[in-house]
Amino acid sequence: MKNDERLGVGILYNASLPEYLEEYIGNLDYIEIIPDMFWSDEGRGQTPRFRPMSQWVHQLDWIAARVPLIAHNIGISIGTMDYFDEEYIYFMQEMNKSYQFKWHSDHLSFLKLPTKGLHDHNAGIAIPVPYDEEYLQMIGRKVDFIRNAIDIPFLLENNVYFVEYPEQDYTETAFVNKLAENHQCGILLDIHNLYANSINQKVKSREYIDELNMEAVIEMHIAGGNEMNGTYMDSHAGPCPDEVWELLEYAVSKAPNLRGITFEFHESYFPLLQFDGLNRQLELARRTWTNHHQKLPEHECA
Amino acid sequence: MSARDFQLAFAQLVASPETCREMIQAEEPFFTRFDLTVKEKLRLHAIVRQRGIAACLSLYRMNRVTPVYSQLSNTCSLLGDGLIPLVEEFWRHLTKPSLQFREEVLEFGQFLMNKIDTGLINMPYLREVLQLEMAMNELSYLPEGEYRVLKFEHDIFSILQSLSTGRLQETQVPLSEDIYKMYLRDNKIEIDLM
Repeated sequence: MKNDERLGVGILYNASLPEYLEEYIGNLDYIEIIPDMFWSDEGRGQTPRFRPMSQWVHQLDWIAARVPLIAHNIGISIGTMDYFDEEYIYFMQEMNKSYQFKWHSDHLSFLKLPTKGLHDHNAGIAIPVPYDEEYLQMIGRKVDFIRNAIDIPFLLENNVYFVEYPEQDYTETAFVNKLAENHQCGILLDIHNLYANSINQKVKSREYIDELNMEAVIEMHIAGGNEMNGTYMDSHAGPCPDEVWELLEYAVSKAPNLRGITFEFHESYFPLLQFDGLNRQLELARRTWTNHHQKLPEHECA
Repeated sequence: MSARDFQLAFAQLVASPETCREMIQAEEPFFTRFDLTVKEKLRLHAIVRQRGIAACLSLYRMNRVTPVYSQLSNTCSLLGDGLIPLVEEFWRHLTKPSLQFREEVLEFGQFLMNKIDTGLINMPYLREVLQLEMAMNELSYLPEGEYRVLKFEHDIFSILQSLSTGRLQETQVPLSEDIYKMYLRDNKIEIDLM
């Protein structure tokens, strides 16, 4: 099958979801996973390097038998300078053979720092890269490698950022557009990141969307957040604010190649959402989706 | 080399409010630890003075403490307000902060166990709860067939039950000499009396 189907509305998997999925997996067109949740990384050069965590892989297999999967990576750390974990990419290649991901993605940031030991150093937070030519070239080379190794679309996600680098060579939209144009990667537009940046950094969200190459946008993320000491945090804290729904509607109207809208929430907020709250968020996302996509997702056409 | 050092310097700042404060007071001693361009120094100078650095520092702490909370949840409940000073002390000596937090959580558990063994922490039932959660955490990363043998000084099931109802302080938990085998079967962690 040609890998360009529109999926619809999905959710980012977390540890609070198994019970919900048993009852409501039919409400979802796909599930996005963070691959690092399901395998234990034994360290560079170890055999096997990645070992399945049987409790989690069992759940993954159950999901994979029911809905399409998307992979959203945190382990590539594409923005780390002088570092590229090829073993990790080849492992993703193997996982893709098993699970047939529809696409996969990473963030425009660095999380890992290289060490001489078995494991890389975890920086603790995803730190955005400066939008400079040097970083553009470095990330572009990695995107080329990933695209050659894994034959599915690879997307990069816009950052949420709390501090700004002075004197960058590019704006974020120009940087992302260059990657999309020169290295044929797709864009994962995180609407909630953009909303957080509009509050904290006064980014003009609609202008940002107008500047972005929306033809390259394959997926959108939506989420909720909360304020902490005067800063709006991208904490995935339950339901999306109204402004995120409005921005989503605007962005979807401009994205002709959009294939999925993914709701993200942190598992610690499940008690706030509960089953009904989750269903409500998915219903609202689907309303926006169907406003702009008359055709039903493929698995509903049978 | 300099961009790599810039990333390292930024990572050190978000990990430590003290380092941020030291850098604001005198940045040259911080800069001399790294190979940085003028532009990168200018960026670090600007970043550490922006309001958002406080959010980065908080996020770093939340991201680091969340795996400890989720994988050693009963241990954290027992420690209560004592947890944060302990993790802060632990982070100052942390040697293995890897992406999956597996080693980090186990290392924190061992750090607590050493304090219990040497009498620096003296809290009823903490040893038993920590033993149990460390074994569960280790097994969750291992293939089926692996197991751990556990011996508790007090009845572990009474401890867990009282902890879940918030009545552990007022419960007289019976002593125990039982030995248990904990293992993974059909994707679930099981515990049997030996």
